[in-house]
Amino acid sequence: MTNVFSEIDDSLYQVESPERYIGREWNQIKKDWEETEIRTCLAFPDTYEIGMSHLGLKLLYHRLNQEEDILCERVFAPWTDMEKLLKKKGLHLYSLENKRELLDFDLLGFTLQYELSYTTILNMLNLGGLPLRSAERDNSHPLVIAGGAIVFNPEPLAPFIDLFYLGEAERDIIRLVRRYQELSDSGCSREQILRELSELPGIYVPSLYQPVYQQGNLESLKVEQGVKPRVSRQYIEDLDQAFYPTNFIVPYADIVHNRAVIEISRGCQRGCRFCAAGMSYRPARERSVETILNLAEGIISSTGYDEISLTSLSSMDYSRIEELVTRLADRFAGQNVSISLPSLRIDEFSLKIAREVQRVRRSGLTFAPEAGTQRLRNIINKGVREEDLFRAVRSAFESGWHRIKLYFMLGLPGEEEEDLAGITRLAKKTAEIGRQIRRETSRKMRRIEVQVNVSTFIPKPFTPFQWYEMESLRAIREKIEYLQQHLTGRSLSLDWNDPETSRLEALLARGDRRLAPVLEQVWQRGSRLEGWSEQVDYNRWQQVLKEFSLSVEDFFAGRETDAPLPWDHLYTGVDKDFLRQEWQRARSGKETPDCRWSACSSCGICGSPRSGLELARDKEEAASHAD
Amino acid sequence: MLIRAKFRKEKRLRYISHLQLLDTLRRAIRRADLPGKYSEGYNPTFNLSLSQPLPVGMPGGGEYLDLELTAEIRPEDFCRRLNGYLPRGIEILQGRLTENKLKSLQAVVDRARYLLLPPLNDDSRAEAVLQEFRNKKEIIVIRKRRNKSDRCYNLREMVHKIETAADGRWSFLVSTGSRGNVRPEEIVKGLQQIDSEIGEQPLINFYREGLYVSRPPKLLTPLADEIMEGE
Repeated sequence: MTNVFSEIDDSLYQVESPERYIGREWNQIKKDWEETEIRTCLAFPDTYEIGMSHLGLKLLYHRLNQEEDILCERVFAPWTDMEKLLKKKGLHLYSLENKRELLDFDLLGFTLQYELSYTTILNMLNLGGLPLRSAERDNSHPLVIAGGAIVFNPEPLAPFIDLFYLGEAERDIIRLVRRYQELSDSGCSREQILRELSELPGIYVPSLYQPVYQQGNLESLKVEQGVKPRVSRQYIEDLDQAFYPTNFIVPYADIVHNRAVIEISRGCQRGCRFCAAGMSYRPARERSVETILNLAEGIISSTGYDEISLTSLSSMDYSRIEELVTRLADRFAGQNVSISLPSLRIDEFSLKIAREVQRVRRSGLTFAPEAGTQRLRNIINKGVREEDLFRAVRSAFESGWHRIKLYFMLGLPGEEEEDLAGITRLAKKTAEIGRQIRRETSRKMRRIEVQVNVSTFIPKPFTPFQWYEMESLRAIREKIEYLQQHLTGRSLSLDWNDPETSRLEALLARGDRRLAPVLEQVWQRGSRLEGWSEQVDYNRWQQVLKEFSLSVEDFFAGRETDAPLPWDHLYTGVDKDFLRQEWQRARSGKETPDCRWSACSSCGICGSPRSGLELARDKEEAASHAD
Repeated sequence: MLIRAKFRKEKRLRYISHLQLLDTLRRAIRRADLPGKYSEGYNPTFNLSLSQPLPVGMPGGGEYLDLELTAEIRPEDFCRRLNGYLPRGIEILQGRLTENKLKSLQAVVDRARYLLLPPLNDDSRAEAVLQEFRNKKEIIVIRKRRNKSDRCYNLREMVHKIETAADGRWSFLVSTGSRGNVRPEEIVKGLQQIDSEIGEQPLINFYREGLYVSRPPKLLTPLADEIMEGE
């Protein structure tokens, strides 16, 4: 163990944004290293700014530090200049609080937020001085765990991670940490420890499960004797009572969400068939208005922020949104605190709320119709009508917004040329509405801008589209070209996500363990920080895949609904039969309504119909009945 | 009502930028619940201004802030309360209240004192090098300018005092601000013209000891009576 920081402190002026590497922010929790028994470190496989914008990491940081005998520190991926500096000085990656090497910790936990961070995970293990593969590590190394939004197909990472936690870790991370400490204190080997930990709910130890491949296809999965054949996602049942910190760290750097973030609800039942989060974060659960007001109060006074951001998968679906926004605005009116709602839905109601807040920035507003025609929106179950969109944009222009972004996906199941034509039509009509309002208004209004953004649809695991194929690069490029040719005219612009990058994301999202050596190899040849467009090298991936006799396409084919999937042994709580049924309904163009305002669609998450839903509205009604 | 306060920014916090420092102070003022006055307008924010920015990486011991207040507060209380809500590395040292209309810090401050760790291994030559610097009438250095062509200027006439500090560091009192500004790396360029053995000096070898206002023959701090009485 060396004091890493004293050797690098005086050189940090050489790297970009040195504040990323110094820690010591307001509200940072730095415990006495020697006096604290259990030492854990949370690792985010991207830069400080990205990682510190992530709520999950902060929830776990504060939850773990709440325990007197546990310390929890943070480490982020160094940018390439800092990596060079560490290597030049012969130093290992260190944590921000006590500035300890990763090797000094008992437990190291990675956040899995997006697939393109996988090579960064390998890089961080390596910079930390840890052997990459779980099999090469023993009790002298920290236990390496991972979890997060995309944990439901962790197979490409299987050999590198000791265990995965499926679901919402604030629920029982403490139990896992304590059990681990107990086992390692009792002198068990790493192997024994992993075996024991695999008995805890939600814990997936990949080394105990061995996939069998046959002619390039997954044939079956061999599970070690006595090990549970299926791992179930764990989640918080009562969100209102769940842990939520108020003493958030206040970063120096201008991070994406440098404001008071309050998670008002978790999960979404709208059932958009392309959406992995909507399927795997069920059931929808809400915090009560009272709890949110108290949290807001606590966070504002502890951090000094002047903006509150209400976050969730779909804030407008919060059953008491109007009351919440009004009371928050009233409460903080005298303190110059503004309120923002990041995810607005396409309807007038949302705009009414936005106007009420009066602090939502007027520069731009984003709507996501996702598809250009009603037929295709029915297929993907995006319950938005054209009239809704036009009414909403009209209302937005009338309220003074001048720039509207429209998000669409390309490569959706059943997509045809008329859907592309539909995109251009929607965009042109939107611009027309805007220009007309601008002509007629007496107010000063800036030039109307309608920005269309298209991305490649990725059929993700645990969605009804998991059996659908990923569209070819050529077809996507042709569609983008079509839009380039047709989406022209005043006030219109087109932007698209790089389709090659989407393919890499799809590869890792849909892939299996055969990708592990590929990952290792592309990392060795320099891939890391691939969430940054300038760092992605698609050709390198293709080259390495070829060397392993694989190709991107091997993972993109459509599948029969009875074929084994690489993630079949993991369970989000939503039944596979429901996904099959939804896939069937999609193909016949049938919508499935949100069960919050209509009948149960039997997704399997609730024991009995709708019993798992936890809405602020229902709770208040229950309380008033009790009176 | 306005409070002008002296502070230092040191240790790890030398790595935060000027804008990050402003945000850090604003949030600390909010946390401490001090009676700062907000600007008018759509995005109200404290009327808080700072003296000339420190380069990222260089610590400073005599930096200043101005904050408009809505209520009177004893300067000692202001310092104590704010220090309770600032990260370690920034410390408010003293303050003074005034009702007078003051020129802004960046307009009034025109001198900075930089201390440089001895750049020569052989300390015995220090005095000779500094003496030669003093004796020169002209030391021409090239200034690199972003998006503009390079420019030459006479460094010597903007260095007003050259000394050796008690701890052996080399001390330079130089012009700073809009009426002539010397960058620390230009002092090094000047020294290199006198002694070619002096190598590149990283910013962190410098320390900005303080910022001052020149009122010949006096050198004042921005907290001096003459300055706080207003114009």
